[in-house]
Order: sequence, then structure tokens, then C-alpha cells
Amino acid sequence: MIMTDVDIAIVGGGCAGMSAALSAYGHGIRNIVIFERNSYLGGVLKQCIHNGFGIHKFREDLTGTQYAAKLIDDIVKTDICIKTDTIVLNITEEKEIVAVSSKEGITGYRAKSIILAMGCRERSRGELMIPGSRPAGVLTAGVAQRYMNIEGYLVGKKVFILGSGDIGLIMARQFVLEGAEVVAIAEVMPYSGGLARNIVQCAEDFGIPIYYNTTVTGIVGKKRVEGVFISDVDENRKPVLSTERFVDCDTLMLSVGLIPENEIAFKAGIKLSEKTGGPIVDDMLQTDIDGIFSCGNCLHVHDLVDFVSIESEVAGKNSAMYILDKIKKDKKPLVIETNDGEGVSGTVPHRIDLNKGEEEVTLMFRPNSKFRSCTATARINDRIISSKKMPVAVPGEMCELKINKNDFGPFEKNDKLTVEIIP
Amino acid sequence: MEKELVCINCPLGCRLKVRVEGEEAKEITGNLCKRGIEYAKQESILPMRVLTANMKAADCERPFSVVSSKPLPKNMLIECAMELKKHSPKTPIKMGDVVIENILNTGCDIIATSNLPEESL
Repeated sequence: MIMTDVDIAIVGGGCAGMSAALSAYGHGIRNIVIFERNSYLGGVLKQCIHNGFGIHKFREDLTGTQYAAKLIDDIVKTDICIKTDTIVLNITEEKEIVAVSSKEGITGYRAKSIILAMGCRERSRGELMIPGSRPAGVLTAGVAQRYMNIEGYLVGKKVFILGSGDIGLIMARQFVLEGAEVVAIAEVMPYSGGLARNIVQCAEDFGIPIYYNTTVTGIVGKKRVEGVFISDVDENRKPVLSTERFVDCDTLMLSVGLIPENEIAFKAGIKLSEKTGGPIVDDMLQTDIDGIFSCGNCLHVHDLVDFVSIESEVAGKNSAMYILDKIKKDKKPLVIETNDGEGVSGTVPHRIDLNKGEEEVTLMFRPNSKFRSCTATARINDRIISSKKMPVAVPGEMCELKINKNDFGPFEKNDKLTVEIIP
Repeated sequence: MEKELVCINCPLGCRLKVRVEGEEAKEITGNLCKRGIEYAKQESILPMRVLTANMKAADCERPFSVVSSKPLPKNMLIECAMELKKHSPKTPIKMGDVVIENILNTGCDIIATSNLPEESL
């Protein structure tokens, strides 16, 4: 196979891939290629017609489509090479890439650095193992969103929603505005995984009830969904079958979580985190293979696209620094691992090298339950390195804690930086 | 009367505590920026929401998306969404085009947020 040499190869042309590309380009790298398996750039933003994007990044309230257009406009102004309708089949430790498209067939690339920006996919009915028949009308929220906003189909008239994540809430509102009825939303947890603003403006505004501690325990219908059985769950999230009742509907929409897509990272031997589903990275967002970086929803699932942009710009910059050989190599690595403490889940980055990268590091993590007036802290043993008071912390909203490398002080080899939320 | 509101201006979703007298919001706390104050005041008098939806063109299968130029009264959201279905402009539609002026006398224009036909990238 003929191998094309590139400086940076980016897998994924959504917000993360485009933001990383623009950042690397801005740092002087010119030979960049983006692989996108869809026929257009923008990823999921293109089907997000609702507003609320860009407030942090652009200081403007944009729709997803407008946010994508801003990035695409900037990309088009550069000579970054875009390969749409092209799927990356394989990457290797040596940073060789095999991609395939109907236009060019199988193609090979040799990159100096790779940025993984594959995003995430939705958990599906199969993963929940909901019993019952397999009629039409069972779909995930993102698929429903694509059908409605890109293809132009109304996918149901009487919709029951399982899961109160953001896409589910957004779609609930859109169903109502398109003239469909949303019967209710069931949420297995005692709280919503969605943003508070979405619970208000998508469910409460339209009088859509959310049943907490409730799940779907059966799907009824032969050709088309005719209804679902729902049940309360106990404290172990197991359905209490004596509470099972029937709900009449023609569509079951699932909004039950997102999984970072890392099959090609896994095949390349990149170490993944069990908690986030994404690669283990340092504070430069570099995976355990030198020169391969990860950012956006394939690193860990974000709530806000603005933060995907900001994070991906870091990956793009460090990828450029890696190629330009500007990552400090003269100093020995001085690495400390991060660790999820009380109340915290999925801290990123997983390790911090005090002798490389930026002076300030942003720790990102999720609370593992609801907190009111709490403090997020990062400590080494009993020594607090950074802390921040928060009026509210909920699992649906990622938290940040900034930490300065100069504040670390001395630590032993096996010490860890523990991130906690204390009530 | 004490009321708790969630500011919907941005995804941070500040939890506001508001003391309401009649229709007037007094003593607003919990906001991280000044938009929280405006939101609490407006929400106590007449809640306003931005409308986003799809529309169909007269000569294209695929939909295009629209947004209201500013928030419109919440109690008119559904009525305005149904009004959108009565209009089917002709392509080409460019992002930023005003598709409907002053929808249902709300003072809001309806603006396209995607292109039809889609651009190649």
C-alpha cells in the first residue's frame, strides 16, 4: 500500500476534530488531514438545531448548526485536507493509518502525530436488555434527532422516553413543538443526568412528567410499538415487578447514556480508563503512546460543546508542540497520577507531568451524586493543593478544578493526587 | 413569596432564589452573572423562550432549521411552532435568512440556521 506522509492525522471531523485541527494549524502545522466517516463535517452539532451553544467559547447564544458553521468556515479558509465519507479502520503504535472510502478505496497514511476525536455513540436497547418484542418505533434519542432534523421525518406521535439525559430532554421538547405527544420520561436514577436548564425548558415548560426511580420493563407491539411496561426500581436499581404498569405509546425513545468510541484506540493498544471509557491521558491529553492524543467525547463524555472545543484546542496545540519538538525533553518526567476520591468519578487527566506541558492544569470530573454547597478539592495525602466552593454539584454537570503545578510541593513516588467533593 | 428558579440563559443553570412581591422579583441571589437577574425578573412577569424548530421548503424533501430572533412569550411557543408549518419558502435558503417576519405579531422574526440545499462540507 502507498503510504502518504502527513504531520497530523485527525480521526473525526466533529467539534473536537475541527477544533484540534484549527489549533494545530494556528501553531504552525500545515500538513493536516481530517478523516470523517459522515458525508459532512460537524458531527452531532449538525443535527442539534436547538440553541444554547457557544456561550463560553464565542460569547454568543448559537444553535448547534450555527456553532458547526463557524468551525467549518474557519476550516475551509485553511488548507487542512478533509476526507469525508472516509472511515479509519486501523491505527498503529507507529502512527500508521488505514482508511477506506468508496471514492479512494483503501488508503494508507503515515503521521507524525495522531489526534483521536471519534466522539461517542449512544447506549442502545440491546445494552439495557429490555425484554419484549422487537417492533418498529424503538430508537435512541440521537437517531430520532437525526431522522427529524436531517432527514425530516416525525418518528412518532405518542412518545415515551426512557432516560432523562440532555438529548432525551431536548428531543422531548422538539416532539411537542412538532405536534407529537410526549407521555412521560422515566429515569432509573433518583435524579436527572441532564442539565438543570433542560429539565426546566424542555420538560417542565411543557408539563411533561419525569418519573424518577422508574424504568421500562417490557416493550409491547408486533409491527409497531403499542406500549411499554414500566416499573419502579428499588435502591439497587432492580425493578420491583409488583409495581409494573402499562403505558400506551407508539414510540419508545432511549436517552440512556453515551459511550466513547474507542475501538481503533483499543486495537492500537492504547490503554483505556474503565471509568471514562476513554484513553488514559496526561495533562497534555497524550495517551500512553507518544504522539497520539485524545480529546472531546471519545476522551470522556462532555455536557457542553464549548468545553469540547477548549479541550480539543489543548490536544491540537500539544500535537503541534510534539511535532515541532517543543515538548520539554531535557527534564526528566515528574509524574503524579490522579485518583477519584469521595464523591468523584472519572477524573481527567489521569496523570500530570510537572516538568512538561502548561503550568496550569484543569482537572475535569463528575460528582457521583447530588451535592449542595460543597467543596471540590485536590490533595496529596492530607495536603490540599487546590479547592473550590460550589453551590450545587450534580452528576449531569461536569466540574472543573484548576490547579497550578507550582503548588504541588514535594511528593513521594507512590503518592496520588486525590480529587474529592466534600459536602 | 420565596421562589426557586433555574436560570436557563446558559448551560451552567444557576439556581436562583427569588423573593417575589406581586409580579415583581425582589432580592435575587444565586446568579453568577447579571443575566440571572434579568431572567428572574422576566420569569416572574412573563416567561420568555427562544423557539427552535424545523421547517420544510416548498421544493425540497429535507428540512431546514430555524430560530426566533429573540425570546418570545412561553405561552405562544406551541402556537408559533404550528404557524411555521403553514409556511414553505422556496430554496435556496441561506443561514441567516429571515424566513418569517414578525411571527404572530410577537415582534420576533424567524431566521434560518441551516442552508438548503446543504453545502458540500
